[in-house]
Amino acid sequence: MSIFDFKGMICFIGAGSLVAAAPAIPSGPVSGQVVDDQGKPVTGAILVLECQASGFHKRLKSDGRGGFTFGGLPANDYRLTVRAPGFSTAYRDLPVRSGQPLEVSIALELASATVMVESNPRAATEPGALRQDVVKTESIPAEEMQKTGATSLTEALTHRPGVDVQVECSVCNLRSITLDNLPGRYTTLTLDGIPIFSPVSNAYGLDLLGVNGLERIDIARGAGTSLATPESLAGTVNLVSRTPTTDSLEGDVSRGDFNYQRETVYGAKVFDWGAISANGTHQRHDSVDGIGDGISQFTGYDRYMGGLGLFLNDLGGFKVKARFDRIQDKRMGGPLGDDYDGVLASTTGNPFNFSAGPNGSPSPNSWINPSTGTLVAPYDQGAAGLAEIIFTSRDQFVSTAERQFGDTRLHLGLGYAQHEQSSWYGGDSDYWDHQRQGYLDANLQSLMGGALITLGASFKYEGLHSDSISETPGSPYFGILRHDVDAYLYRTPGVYLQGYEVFFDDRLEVSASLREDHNNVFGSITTPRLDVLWHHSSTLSSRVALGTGYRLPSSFFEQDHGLLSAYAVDRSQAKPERSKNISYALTYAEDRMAVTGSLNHTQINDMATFVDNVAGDFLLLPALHPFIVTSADVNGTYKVTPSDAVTLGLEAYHYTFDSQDANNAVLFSRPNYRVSLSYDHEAGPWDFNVRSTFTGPQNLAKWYDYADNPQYNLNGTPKINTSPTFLVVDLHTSYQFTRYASGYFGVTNLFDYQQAKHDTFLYSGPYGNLNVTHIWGPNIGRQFVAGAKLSF
Amino acid sequence: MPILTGTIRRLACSAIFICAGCTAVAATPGRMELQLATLDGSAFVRLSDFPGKAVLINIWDTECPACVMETPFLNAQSRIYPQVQFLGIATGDRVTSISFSRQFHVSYPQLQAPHDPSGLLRRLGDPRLGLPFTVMLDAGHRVCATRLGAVDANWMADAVRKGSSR
Repeated sequence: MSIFDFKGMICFIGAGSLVAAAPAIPSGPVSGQVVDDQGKPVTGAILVLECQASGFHKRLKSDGRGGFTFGGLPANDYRLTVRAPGFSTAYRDLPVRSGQPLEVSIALELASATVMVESNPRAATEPGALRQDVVKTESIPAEEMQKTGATSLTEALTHRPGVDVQVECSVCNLRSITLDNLPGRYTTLTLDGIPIFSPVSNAYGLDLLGVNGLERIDIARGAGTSLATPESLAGTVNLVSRTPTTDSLEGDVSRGDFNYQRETVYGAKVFDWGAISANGTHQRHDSVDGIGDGISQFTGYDRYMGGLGLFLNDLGGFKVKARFDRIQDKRMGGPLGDDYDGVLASTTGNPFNFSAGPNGSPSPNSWINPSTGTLVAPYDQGAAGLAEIIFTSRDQFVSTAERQFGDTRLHLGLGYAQHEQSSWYGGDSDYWDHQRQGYLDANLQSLMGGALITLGASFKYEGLHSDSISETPGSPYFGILRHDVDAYLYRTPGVYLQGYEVFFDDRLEVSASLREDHNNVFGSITTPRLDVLWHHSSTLSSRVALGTGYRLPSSFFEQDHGLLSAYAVDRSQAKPERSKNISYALTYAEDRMAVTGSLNHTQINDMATFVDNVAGDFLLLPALHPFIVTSADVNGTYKVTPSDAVTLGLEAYHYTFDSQDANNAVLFSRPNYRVSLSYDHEAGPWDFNVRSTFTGPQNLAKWYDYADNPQYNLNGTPKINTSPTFLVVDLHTSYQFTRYASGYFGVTNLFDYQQAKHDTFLYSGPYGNLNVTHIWGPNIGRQFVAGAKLSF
Repeated sequence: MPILTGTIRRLACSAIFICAGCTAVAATPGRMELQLATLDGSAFVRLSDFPGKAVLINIWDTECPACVMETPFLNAQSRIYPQVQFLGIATGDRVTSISFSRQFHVSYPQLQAPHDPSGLLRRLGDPRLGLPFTVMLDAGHRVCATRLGAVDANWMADAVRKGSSR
């Protein structure tokens, strides 16, 4: 007797027993609904119900609502198989017992061979947008970055409606990403959804994030827009790694003005079990001085970035994605060039010319003390006195794993980063820090009733240790090595719940989430969020979002290097910063035109300010007044001809804040409005893109609190109260020579508009103390870049 | 004040224009229309360019393995069913899509997806935004068959029959 015959006998006996035991009592029906991975009904799915024991076999199709019913079933063990085009086949083992009806919900996953479209600007309102862990409001695909010639995160995000990059130091190129023109430190960065960046790493780290090996950048404007990042007071920027689908090898070499050099390589190999990828980038740039004072207005750098990716289709049932990156960066601002040792050895004399540029000093070696109207003592601190030399190295690892258990998806996330910085701030301090960050996350996502429920828990670790030596002669710690002046350690476990459901035939999508975190210093913090998306038609959608976020005061060294000269950093009165945000977006998109308009209102309470008190301590204090930004923006693209498209963007901002708070929180000036106009020409092998941005006036007197901290030119005249408007035009063109080879050429800041030619970054305080952060405009002029790319 | 009034008037005109657009879509239920540029940027293609002819639309991306696999098959089918106008719509990078089409000697017109393709996919019956997505329109350009995932000969034959029978 073969095994099949044996099983057949058991089936026969089993069936006979059941018939004998309960011959006339069929069980309740098996019914349910077939839905897709977004919870939407799948019509016409083929359902096959079989019983091996009895030989029962019945086949039917799901109805218009994805529903099905198998009636009159004898009690037995059945297997249900569900198939639908484009989806993976699903199986369910159903123990049908007499008496009770059985209700099952079958969620089909898209077949692995199918992919989801990633549309770009309207991601905020595309169907299913709200069900993601990161509720994005826009997305920048790799093609768009390539079209504009962007090579780093900061270049990719410059001058976009509601999104920009702000320079916060003219001699160290500290930059931040601003969302809805809120301060850059309120933007949270994530890598594949995992938050392993901090204010310390972002201070000089944004430039280190290349776009090589990225599939897209997702932007989520608004507080708490990501389940994983309640600390995003202004929003989240998520870098999404490219998952290889085919074998590929790409190389890209470019050269430009100011000795700009860039070489990148990306390779991927796809196997039956998954894929591996590797990428590497080298970039360097000379420091730039546009007015001849010998002081850089754009920091020179030399950096190496390398990464490895591993993608496993099935590791114990899990689909795994992992990447490791190593980054090394050297930069120097203040004196020009890259002779770091030579600069550090230059501690006397004056290599600079303080009389160069608009409103320069009458003397090249000194400047006017506004309180006396006379020249201060000649500068005698050498090149080192104004130098900022920062060496950074960073290792980061992130991994995600997903497995489906019936209707439930288990998602695991792991992240680790080690960030080291060695820096010299001329006249302020010598500073070394070592930061570690870790992140663990696990969540379950399942259909319950009609709702998609995500329930998860996470643990976040962030610690900083530092060594520092004050270089301020007046400091009691001058020349003394100190440990952990600005150290901190945060451990934050949290739990979260998100529900997502569609109503009215998919026209209404609602997502609500609640997060509860417990920080070891600040205790419990709750952050709720609600998103509602209404599809008026296939072309018109509205979205309303409201939420809150919180941010723990961490390192404030990036805000004020001078704190290392103080007796102590007093955190006893510190509070988490909190934000409340509400926004509305209306999107219209058809074949030739897409327009999105949005209104945003964000209020930051307890903004962290740094106050130098009479005892010489730096007090970390919550601001007494809220910081409020209300904005409106419209962005529209129209395909004028088959090969030409025009994009117009308008942004208007209204700020409510206290000047003293802004100055103590080291905020930088922002414009009242911005207008952008882009033209794209795409025909045959040619791609041509011109992007112009007109920036409105900035109330410098208010932002920089001239009333309490007046700023003067080096000739003693007051700094301007309001910045002039300015226009920046960038263009980029590429030509595809063959299937494998292309070339490109670009010009940034075509009309060479530089702030320093109108109003230098340098300023003097009322008693002649020199500073470098009077910032409102571009810090680098016209730059030509050309390159070639090979793709196999 | 006149400037503000003018701005409000312009905004009102825009709103009317948008609503008019919505109405236009709703006023012709079932009958599809689209206007997309060819991949090489030489012309706009509309469904009304093919009056009285069944149209098969295949939406694809070079980053989509199933799309890549089914391309030679679709190319062959376009020759087997000359009574059906085949159109491809590429959602990915334009230049890469051109290279890909040339590599596979695709003989039917290839179009660029809109800046945001989600509305088009919803209109054509793919609310999940999955690719590849293929839709058969009958001679009146009404949807008569859709397929999420790669097509096969049986589906093609059935779709062509439906497209031709209406």
